[in-house]
Amino acid sequence: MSPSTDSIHDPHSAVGLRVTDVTRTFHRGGVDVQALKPVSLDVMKGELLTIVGPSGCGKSTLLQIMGGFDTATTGTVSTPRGSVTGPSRTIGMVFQRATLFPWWNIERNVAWALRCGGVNRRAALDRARELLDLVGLSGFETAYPNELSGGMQQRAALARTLSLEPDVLLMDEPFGALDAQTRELMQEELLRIQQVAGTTIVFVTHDIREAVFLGDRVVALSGSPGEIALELAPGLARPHTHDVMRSKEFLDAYEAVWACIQTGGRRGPVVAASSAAAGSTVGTP
Amino acid sequence: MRFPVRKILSPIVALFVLLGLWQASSLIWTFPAYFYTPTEIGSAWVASLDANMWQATWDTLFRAGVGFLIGTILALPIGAITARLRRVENTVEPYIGFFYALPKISLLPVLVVWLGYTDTARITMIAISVFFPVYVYMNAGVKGINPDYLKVASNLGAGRWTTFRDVLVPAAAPMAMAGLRVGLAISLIVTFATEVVGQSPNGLGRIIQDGFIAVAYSEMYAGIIMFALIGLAIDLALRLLTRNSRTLWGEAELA
Repeated sequence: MSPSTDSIHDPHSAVGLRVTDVTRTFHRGGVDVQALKPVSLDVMKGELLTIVGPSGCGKSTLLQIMGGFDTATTGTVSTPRGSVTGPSRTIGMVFQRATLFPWWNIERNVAWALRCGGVNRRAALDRARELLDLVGLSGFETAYPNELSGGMQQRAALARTLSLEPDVLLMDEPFGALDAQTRELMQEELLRIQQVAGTTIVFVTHDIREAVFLGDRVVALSGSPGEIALELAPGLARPHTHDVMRSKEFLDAYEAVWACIQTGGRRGPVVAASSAAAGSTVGTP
Repeated sequence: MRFPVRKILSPIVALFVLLGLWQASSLIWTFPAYFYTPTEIGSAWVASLDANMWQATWDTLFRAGVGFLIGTILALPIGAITARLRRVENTVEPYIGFFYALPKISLLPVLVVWLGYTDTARITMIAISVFFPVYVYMNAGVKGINPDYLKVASNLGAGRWTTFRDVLVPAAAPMAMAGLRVGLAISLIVTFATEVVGQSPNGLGRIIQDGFIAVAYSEMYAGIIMFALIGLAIDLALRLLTRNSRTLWGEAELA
């Protein structure tokens, strides 16, 4: 959905986060490298938007700009609260690696986030335990990050970010480092948590299956510098599990995104092996 | 906590085997008088344990300890600040680089000219020598902090002081501790040098040097053993401290 004309500053706006003509140019060794062509998009409140694209398409850069961790060269990012000028508690970020603080157990990690928001010690610990329970980690509250598997660490990191009760939750390939089974479990878990918490989520991934499975709406970035090449709503019945991957809607959406990325990325034939590995019927563009 | 018998046993066995071979070799060959056997060194050390020796040990410990503390107290914050503030680092880095490679002990004559053959000169010398390695470790430790930790802190709205206390300090602690261990070893080395070259009237360095000059080798060996025991004790204490305070969380990095 391209940005509509209604004001985002209206608190009743259905738009949770608006990106307007954002570009990003890096200066490397005296050379300007453009990472993002002008990108505009609206993230609707309560929506799970996935952004998918090959490595180097600028999807992570876009997400960093959305979260205020990086500054757009031109263009703006705004929420109903105002424009995004730096990191804040209203836009939570889950990183590719869990980045929990290894000197505290996970309960204290989550509680610290709450303490930073002014919650008192007692209440912060109680709330931390509730959140760890929500992400399926009850019984592990006093475990240290290095005692947990990658998937459990990422759950704890998610709990920490959810503790902010952010207006928008940004996720930067959060399941990229996990093994295939854990990743599928985490994807279903994320959908469950989003149903419970109703958070607006922007989820970046290079995995088309993940993007189509999770996204209410999928935005495909292509090329380098990146630009929006496709936008679609897979229209999968919700709630759903991985069984949906055999449905026609899923396969159609998958195929559309795949075809778009193939033509939009580096032009030329894509290695056949990667389409075989994807395990799907991919039409030649 | 169970006493780690196996861990302690193997170095002790190795020690006794080595000392045994050394001792046994003295039964086969005849060594010159200055070449002591382990039992001779041991009994020399035991015999040396009088008030004089304890006083010397204390004098040496005092110099090393005060010098180490001053050097460390300066190096930790300065190392952290230069790691975080590019401009400050650019300003001081050339000077640090100049002094870092300089054999610090070469400054001792200068200090003696300024301050005389005093403990002030000796302790200043020790503090300067400790400062540089601790500075370098601390600087690298703070620079090496996972940038995502700081992103997380800013995302969670942690203030400057909270970020410093709860994120920067613990994240840099393992490297800082490594720096302290290096600094401690250096403080003992330099203390010996300042006691000998700096004409100290007392201390273990004096005992060793006097024993050497007076051909009283049992004194010399006793002083050396005492020095080694001090180093061993301090290093063990530091390692125990590190273990108990869970400072070694470096391995948690692998996510």
